[in-house]
Amino acid sequence: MSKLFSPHSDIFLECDEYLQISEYLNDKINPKEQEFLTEAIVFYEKHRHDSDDSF
Amino acid sequence: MCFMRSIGMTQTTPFDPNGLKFKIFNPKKHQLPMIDFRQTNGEDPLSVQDYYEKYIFNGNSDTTEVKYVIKYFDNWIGFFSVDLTRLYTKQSELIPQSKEKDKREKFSQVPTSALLIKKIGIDSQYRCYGIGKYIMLFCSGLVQAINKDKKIKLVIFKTTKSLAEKIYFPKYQFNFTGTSGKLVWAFKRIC
Repeated sequence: MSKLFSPHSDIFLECDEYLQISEYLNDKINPKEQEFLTEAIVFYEKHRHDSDDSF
Repeated sequence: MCFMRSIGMTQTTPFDPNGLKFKIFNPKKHQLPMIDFRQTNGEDPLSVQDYYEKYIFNGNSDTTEVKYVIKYFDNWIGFFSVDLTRLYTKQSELIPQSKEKDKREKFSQVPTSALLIKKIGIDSQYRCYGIGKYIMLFCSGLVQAINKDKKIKLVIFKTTKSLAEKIYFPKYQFNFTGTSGKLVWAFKRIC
């Protein structure tokens, strides 16, 4: 993992918020989300202008 | 298509996302001008302006998150800050009181790792060009790049319910928590 990124904070969510997120994560990724993620990695590689966020 | 008015000229040019540059903020290298990040009604419900003035404009560094500053060709137009975080439930909410007791306790034991976008600021003159989408793309790409072990599950940020309903959900498919207050958590899986 990147030297720049290590967990620094904890967020305590309301129980119903946490359950909503957990249930969302249990669902399989859908094609639209996968398309966004693919677009994201291409965009990131093209637009990052610093080497110090490399891992 | 959105068009930008050229400063000092009457002609317009289309917004070109290839002109965007994302740089890790270094107060010794980057001198940004004062920029207006408030909403058009002058409000600042997410304290973006205060954050910018303290940590970017004045360069205070007493925070742990990583700050990115954004250039559009030669102009500074915004910033965002990110941090890795762990999501838990509030312990007070875990008192067994329903049939879903086992489920609730299971969820409470293992925190969910997420990339937290702490602040997003876009110059008021550059709104409506979809720059928010490019920030979301960059953050989602960043987290995929540093997440070879797949431990980070989400990109998450706090926003107003209004923005979540009008922009982040319909345009970028970010879900949001159903709290009744003015602020909500917007989130999207990254693996």
